[in-house]
Amino acid sequence: MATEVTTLVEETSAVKPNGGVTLPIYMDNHATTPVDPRVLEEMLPYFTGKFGNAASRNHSFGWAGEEAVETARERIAKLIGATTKEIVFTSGATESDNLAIKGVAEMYREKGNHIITAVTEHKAVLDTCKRLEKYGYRVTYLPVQKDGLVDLDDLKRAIDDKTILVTIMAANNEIGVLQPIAEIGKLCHEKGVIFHTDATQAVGKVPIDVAKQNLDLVSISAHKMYGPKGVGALYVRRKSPRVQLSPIIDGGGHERGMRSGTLNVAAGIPSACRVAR
Amino acid sequence: MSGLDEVYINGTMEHRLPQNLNISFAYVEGESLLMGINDIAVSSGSACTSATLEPSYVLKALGTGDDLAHSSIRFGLGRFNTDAEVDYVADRVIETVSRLRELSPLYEMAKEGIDLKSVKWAAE
Repeated sequence: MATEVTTLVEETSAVKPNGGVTLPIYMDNHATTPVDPRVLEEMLPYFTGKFGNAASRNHSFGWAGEEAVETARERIAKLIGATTKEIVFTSGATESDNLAIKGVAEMYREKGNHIITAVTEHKAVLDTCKRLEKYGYRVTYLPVQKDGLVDLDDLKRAIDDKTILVTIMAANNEIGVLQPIAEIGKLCHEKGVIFHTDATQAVGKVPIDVAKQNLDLVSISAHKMYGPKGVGALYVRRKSPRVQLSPIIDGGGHERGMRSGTLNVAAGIPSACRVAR
Repeated sequence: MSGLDEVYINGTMEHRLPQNLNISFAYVEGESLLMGINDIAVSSGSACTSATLEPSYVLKALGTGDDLAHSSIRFGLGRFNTDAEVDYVADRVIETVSRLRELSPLYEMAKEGIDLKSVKWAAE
């Protein structure tokens, strides 16, 4: 029996002597990344001994959970130059994109119904915008230039008095190009338009600073930066301007009412952020 | 990849994640290339999960033709990749692209100076 197991392990790990490299080689880190062993180590106690619900206020199990979540919030806030109250935990960047776009659309419906995005955005943004079109919103899909970047003059021309949101990604998931988000953020703030950026591929790789880059909403994913799948965050600016969102998931009022649902205490996002710094 | 001709980088190199390389190898079909380097996990610019083999909408938005979009590969480096792995991958890609092009009548015709766009194909 022991021999059989050993053979199986050898076969599945497919180790071959090829110039010192172990095959197969994983070089698809935009799709996902492995959990860093240091992240995993920090996560493990929260599955068993420290399993408390972060919303349980009456006992030490709950307090331990809350402490873990607050540490996570501090670290992720520090990574992008935000404050802890501006971080909303989600199930991943797709949910963060949905919450940012649909949340602004519903909350600011009386102000306007126009949203601007770009044709090379992730489907989580494009399909969300397409759904809003069915509900009477108007969406401008900016083209990109041959180099993959949006033209700021195109953006300037697209903004009108009904524009409530601009959503342009920080780094593209296929071609890795970095959109001029600082310039876009500056332009949006001059025009009084909320700016969301899907920074899934950028956070932990290139500097993201919500103050310097004038970002109002930022989508973040753990599994793209050596954390586990199924957890992400949305940065929501609290002042100048204060951004308000309608929730897309209703329930117990977690995350200041913006995202209900028991928090993923063992998410490992804190150590992922710490390691990413 | 300088050992190969007809290689095109998709997207600007000036404003780009340092971990990303997305390149098209003309006269090579992306899926064949992926099969040829099947000990390396990378992604191609074809959405092979869909019923029809659609080229990437991102590459199309840059003005990349369908042929070049289909022949694209996305390399995404991570924290745990080593220099030795990068060297191995580069060697394997060069070797596979060269082999596939040797079998490609289109590449041969292009090398002979025939403008492929002017060719009248029997099926058309």
